[in-house]
Amino acid sequence: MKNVLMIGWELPPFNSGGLGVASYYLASHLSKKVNLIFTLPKKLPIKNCPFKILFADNEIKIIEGYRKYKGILVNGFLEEVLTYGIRLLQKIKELNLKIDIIHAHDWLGGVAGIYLKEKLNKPFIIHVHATEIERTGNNPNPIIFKLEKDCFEKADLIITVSELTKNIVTEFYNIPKNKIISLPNGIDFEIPHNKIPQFILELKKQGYKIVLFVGRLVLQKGPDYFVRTLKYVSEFIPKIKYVIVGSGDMLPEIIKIAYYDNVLDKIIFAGFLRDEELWGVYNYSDLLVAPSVFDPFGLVPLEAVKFNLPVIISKTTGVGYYLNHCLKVDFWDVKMMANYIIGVLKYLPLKNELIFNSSKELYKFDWEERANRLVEIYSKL
Amino acid sequence: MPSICFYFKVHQPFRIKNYTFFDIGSEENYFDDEKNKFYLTRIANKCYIPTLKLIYELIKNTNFRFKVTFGITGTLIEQLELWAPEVIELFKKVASTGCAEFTGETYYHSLSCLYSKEEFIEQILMHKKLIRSLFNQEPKVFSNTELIYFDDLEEILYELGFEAIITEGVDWILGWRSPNFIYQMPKGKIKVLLRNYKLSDDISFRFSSREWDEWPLTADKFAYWVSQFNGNGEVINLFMDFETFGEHQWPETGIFEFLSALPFEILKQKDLNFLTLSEAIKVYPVRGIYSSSYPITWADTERDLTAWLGNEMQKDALERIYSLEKYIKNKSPQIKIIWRKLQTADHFYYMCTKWFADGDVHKYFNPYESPYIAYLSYRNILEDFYLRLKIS
Repeated sequence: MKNVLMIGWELPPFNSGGLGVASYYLASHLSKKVNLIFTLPKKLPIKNCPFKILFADNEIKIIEGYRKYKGILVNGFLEEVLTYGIRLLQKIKELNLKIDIIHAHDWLGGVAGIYLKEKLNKPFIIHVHATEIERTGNNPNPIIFKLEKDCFEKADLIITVSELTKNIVTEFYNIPKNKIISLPNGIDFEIPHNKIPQFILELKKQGYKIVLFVGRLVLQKGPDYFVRTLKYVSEFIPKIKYVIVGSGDMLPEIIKIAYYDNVLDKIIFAGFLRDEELWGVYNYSDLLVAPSVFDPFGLVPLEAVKFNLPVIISKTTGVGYYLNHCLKVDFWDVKMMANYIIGVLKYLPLKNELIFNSSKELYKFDWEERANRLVEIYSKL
Repeated sequence: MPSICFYFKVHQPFRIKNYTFFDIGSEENYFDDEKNKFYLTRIANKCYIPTLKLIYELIKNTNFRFKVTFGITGTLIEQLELWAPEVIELFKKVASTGCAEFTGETYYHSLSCLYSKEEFIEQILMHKKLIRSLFNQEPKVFSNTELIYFDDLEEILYELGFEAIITEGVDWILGWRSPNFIYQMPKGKIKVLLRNYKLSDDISFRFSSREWDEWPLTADKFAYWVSQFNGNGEVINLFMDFETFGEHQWPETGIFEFLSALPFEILKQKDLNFLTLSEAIKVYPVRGIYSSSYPITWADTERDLTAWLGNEMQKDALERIYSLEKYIKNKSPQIKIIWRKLQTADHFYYMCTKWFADGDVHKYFNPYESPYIAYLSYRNILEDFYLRLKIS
């Protein structure tokens, strides 16, 4: 069995989004097939984890030379990223760990990956869940962009979570295609225990149709386009509520849009939900819309499919490359998006066929199969 | 001595627009003229014009021994009149040789035989009138939409003066029997000509497939295969879409060279010839009964209706359009035309979800982004149509 050092950044419940979830499942399934050590940049009280976790040393002993990166002064968050490798190496040496392959998630772990590749002289894979280009709508932070480019250039192999991201890495970072493999994320097939939140129960009782948005309220996820559909949709479906799950810096703007469109009373801001409550919302909604301006993969639409929801996604959501039985729309085409929303809510055969056929596509997103694929990839390095 | 009967299905639908909720009540034209014109001119140039010219030459150069049968729909003729009238002239030219026959069918390429006898008959009569006026022929052989066939059609066709029907030679109905003979329907009033799917698909599907161990298919090889039926077959029915030539099989595949050489290679063989469908039923005797109580088609491996009626959206759309019949009766001719154009089978085919997964997406042609959008547009159009018909 290969000894794999998987350099992560976050794990549930201490995660801000999909990166932590994907890392968790990937590591869980892989740990049955290789000797896997998963690393985190700092110590956190994670319980019942099926794989070994190595926390990087909290104390930064060697810091000189890393305060400055390519002439730019860094601190805080960036410092944590840039010192991650050094802090890990101390632990690796202390514990005398044997490592055959370094597999890092995103640039957050990738910078450490580059460092450890040099020090340990082992092959380095970078697993790209999102690029700075995608996160910022092609308005990248130059430092992060440069760090990512370094990771891509120095990695022995790049894994992207979709074809969309593969194309971005090729075009924007100038990386040859033959160095990149796209391997979509999986999904946990089990339907977790869920409880229905009181507000949903009330709405259902009163006969409202519930359209769901789940995601951070940031530009990349397109919540504003979603809210702009509401004035058109409510013309055709008066008893409607949009439930927005998530928080983020676009909240004030979204409220403003809804206010001017005179639909603020039709929106429920549920805030950030997780686990039982989130599953409950999925379970009792009528439709999920994922209107991302850019999403490298998109776990949310798959979660919705798992809970038998019909799904509308933007054409710039990576999972759409693999998930066929959903409605796909340009994120900016608000009226067309509204047309689809009304259609799914009004025409039962459309809704039923979307649910029936998309649920049959879930098998494509099997973590076990992803893990097998990775073992195969490891063996070739 | 076996005879070869070529039958070419020539059809294009009036495709509908991507019609949204916001068009309901305001947009009166349901049909995508631009898209329809685009497809029609493309297919006319790639297939209809070169193939018809070639067929005309072949008929002349074989001294009128090459013969073909066409099944042309009314919706195609209407579109040709609008955007490619020279194709109609070419059809007339081919017909003038006396070596081309036209079958009867529903004018709108509809599935009306499954929903309304009255409408089915009316569309057949409309089509007969069209063929009479264009080609001065009285169709004697019936080719139903997608070659749908079931026993109950017999009386209707008989009353309408047809002598035969064509359909798929389905293995599980034939059993040990061969498709290469003339059969009849259970009551003995209508003869049945069966498609030899093996040889038909060799041309229409497999012709350019390099994975096929018979690739490349040459005219002399094909003629040799056909000659092998000498003594144990009387009619070899090669039924296929006319678009096989130049569209499904591109010119680069050599399909036109194949077609140019085939009549001569066939006629070279002892005891082989070409017949039109109504000639074939006069020449050869009936050898048995071909019966199916439920509808069969020439589609897919299932040979059933699931490509048109396989999911909830398709069933809903079809039930809705035919349930309008009673409201249409006393309406203006314009309203009737719209209702009938909306019956064309292609609309429901575009809503088919059974292939829409993995790499299968490109296995069939769909002018819409997905079957769901095809249904949504159709369903929205019906909402507008209900308003026009004042049905709430």
